[in-house]
Amino acid sequence: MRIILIVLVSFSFSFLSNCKKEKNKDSDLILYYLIFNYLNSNSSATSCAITGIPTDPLFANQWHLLNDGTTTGAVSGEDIKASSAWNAGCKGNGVNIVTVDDGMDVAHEDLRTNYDSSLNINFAGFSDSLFYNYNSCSTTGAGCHGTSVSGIMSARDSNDIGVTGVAPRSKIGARNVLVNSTDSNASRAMSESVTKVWVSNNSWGAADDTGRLAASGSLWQSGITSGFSSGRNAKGSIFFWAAGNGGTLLQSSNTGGIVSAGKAPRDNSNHDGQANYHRAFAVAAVGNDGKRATYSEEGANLLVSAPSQGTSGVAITTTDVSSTGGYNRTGAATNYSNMNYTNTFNGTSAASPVAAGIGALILERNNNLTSRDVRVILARGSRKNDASDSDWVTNGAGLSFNHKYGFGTVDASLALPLAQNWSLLGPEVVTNFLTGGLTNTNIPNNNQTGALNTLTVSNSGIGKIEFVEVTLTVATGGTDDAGDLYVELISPAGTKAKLAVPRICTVSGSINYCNDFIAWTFGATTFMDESANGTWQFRVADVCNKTTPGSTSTTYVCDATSRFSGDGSSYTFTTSRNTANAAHTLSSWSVRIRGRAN
Amino acid sequence: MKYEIKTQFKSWKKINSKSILTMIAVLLSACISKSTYSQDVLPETLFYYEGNQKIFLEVDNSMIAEFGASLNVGGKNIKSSVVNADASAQLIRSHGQVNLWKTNGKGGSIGISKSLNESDNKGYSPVFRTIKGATNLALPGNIIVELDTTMTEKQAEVFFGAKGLRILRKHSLDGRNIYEVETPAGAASLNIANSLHGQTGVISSTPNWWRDVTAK
Repeated sequence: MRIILIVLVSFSFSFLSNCKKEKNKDSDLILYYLIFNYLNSNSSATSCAITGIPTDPLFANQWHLLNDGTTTGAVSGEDIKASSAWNAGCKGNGVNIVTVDDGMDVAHEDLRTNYDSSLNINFAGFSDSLFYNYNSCSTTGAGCHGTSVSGIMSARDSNDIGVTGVAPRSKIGARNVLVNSTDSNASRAMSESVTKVWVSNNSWGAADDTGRLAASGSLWQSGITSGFSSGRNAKGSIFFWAAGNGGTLLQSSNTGGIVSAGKAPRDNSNHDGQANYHRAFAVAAVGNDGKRATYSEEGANLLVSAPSQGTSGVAITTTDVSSTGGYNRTGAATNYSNMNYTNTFNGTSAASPVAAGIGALILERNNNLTSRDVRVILARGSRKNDASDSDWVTNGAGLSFNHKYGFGTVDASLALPLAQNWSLLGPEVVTNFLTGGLTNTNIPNNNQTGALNTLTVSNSGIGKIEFVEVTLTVATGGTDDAGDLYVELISPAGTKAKLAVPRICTVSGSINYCNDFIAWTFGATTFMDESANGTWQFRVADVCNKTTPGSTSTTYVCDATSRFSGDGSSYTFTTSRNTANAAHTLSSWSVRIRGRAN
Repeated sequence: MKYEIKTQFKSWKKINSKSILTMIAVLLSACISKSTYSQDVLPETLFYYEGNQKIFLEVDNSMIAEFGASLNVGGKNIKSSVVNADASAQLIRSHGQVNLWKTNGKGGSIGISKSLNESDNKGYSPVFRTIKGATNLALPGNIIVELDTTMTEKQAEVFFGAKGLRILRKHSLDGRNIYEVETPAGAASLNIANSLHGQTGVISSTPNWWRDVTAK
């Protein structure tokens, strides 16, 4: 369409120039240049046209937007550089966001201006006036979650009240799937009426602190896949997903003696079949010091990190269910006297909408981007936070990746310029699930080498990877434990994705078996922009020394030297389970690679 | 003119007989669906399909899910049929319209949910998990069936109607033929979904699981 316009303008200009009685070539050329540039720009005429730093009364408390280092434990500059976007005029104008959560206080004083009911799906069957669990909020704070999530993204700016969102001129709606989280509703929340949905935030998912694998339903998978490709007029809606809050390492101090030495992992974001799905952008949490929040789950599936409550305890300021509902129910001295706002919102629940707000700004900057474009922009245009952390690696394409942080903290000053001058990606190329070699299937107990196999990929047509899926089946004996296993995939370029690390699983706080890897699919962003062709290596190793049947006093050591450094490479724990040691058997593994030609 | 009328009458007759058959099938399904399918949970039927993958289940006979609960539940003094069935039942937590109860009542959650589904307007389900899985699963009713794309919606109606079932909605996902089919809450949904697996024209048949997810 733009090409046609350019031709028409060029022709018109030429025609008019010849018709004019007096010719002024210089001004004609300047005008022609301006029109030509406008037609060739990637931005819409109305995008990024509202400048200004917010004047909202609580903006100064929103360190995640602008961190001046004055809050407890803060490091100045550890924020998302929102002002960079706002000074460029990008505030989310024209962008539609949905909060998929437990609802939203649609009448909230700082949300109602941006509220767009046409974006809603109400799974409760009640009228919009009961769109959130007001009574539950009053009692326990439960049911208010979506309101606080929404404010992070879309609270109106510069209206003399409250806070500002990352994208304060975006439109916001709600899909209260948590009211009735069936597979059907979860799928509909992703796929229904998505023509208007640009950004979807999802700060929900499988329960944390179990260590166990939680699969996603196939209908939900189909729903998000549909939204990712068909939403936003076939450019794709973008789905941000909370990475998970079960990342706190178990130690003697917090496990009632289960772990007697070292630090044991429990949850990993790659155990969550939604957060690790190839259409979800998984977001981890960093504190106001730019470092991993202790609860934030690691994973090879992480895309980016974003601010939330970290070690310092300083949380996120955002909207709260109106009046006495929500998290701020008393206006106590530790919170705001205005109970329509709270300073306690935290978790990857808070981090994800921060990143989603950046996603909205990116799309305002360039509304021609597809959902795949946004993923690559976020990977290339995030900030390497916590630079001294030893887990940063440089992948084969020169991108920095960390299993704690993905490609780093979202940063508007990096992402938006990239978006503005972006050349759209070519069509997606997807391999079949390629069957991995099974030369070595025996996974001996307490052996770091484990079963190492290879897969040679040739003529894939993928010069630049965007996402890799690995499906794994390991036969684990009835009294052995899949939690003993370490699983890694190494690309032809030598980049290592740690898909699973040895961990402890618990049920109601008591140690228990981890569930087996039966056709479990991992996700990895680690290899972004690398070539798919070449020989891949895949290792599954049992790294725990359960050499004899146990008793209630037997201790075991899991030596995870390959896991990561910094937090200690091994941990010792006791278990009341009798575990007869047996080797596992690698039954099958396969890899599906998604990317593009170049 | 006469020819036109005659032709139109023949066409009307043709269309109408098909519609009548469909209507009969749909009407019958409303009558017989509740009583035809078993609410029993048998050890040999403790599985479901995701596509072609057979996934084995375990049932937690001490937990029951109640669907259609009030959003105003505050955790105390709840009037619930679960409490009527088991006075010692304890509310574990509420998720919007869903209550999870702990029960030691007679028959466990399988027996209680079966009984309540026969007598109550709300839906009740035992709680399931995949083997060593973490996520509580329950059956609020309905199944998700993907049919071959060559089947029209009318043919789908007849297909389901013949089994005493009716379509609740079509999930329009990238040209696929996915239907949400009405079934009762509880184990009947699992049994009905499994009964359709492998039938001609059925690509997949899965219960519409409720999953115990949480805000992060």
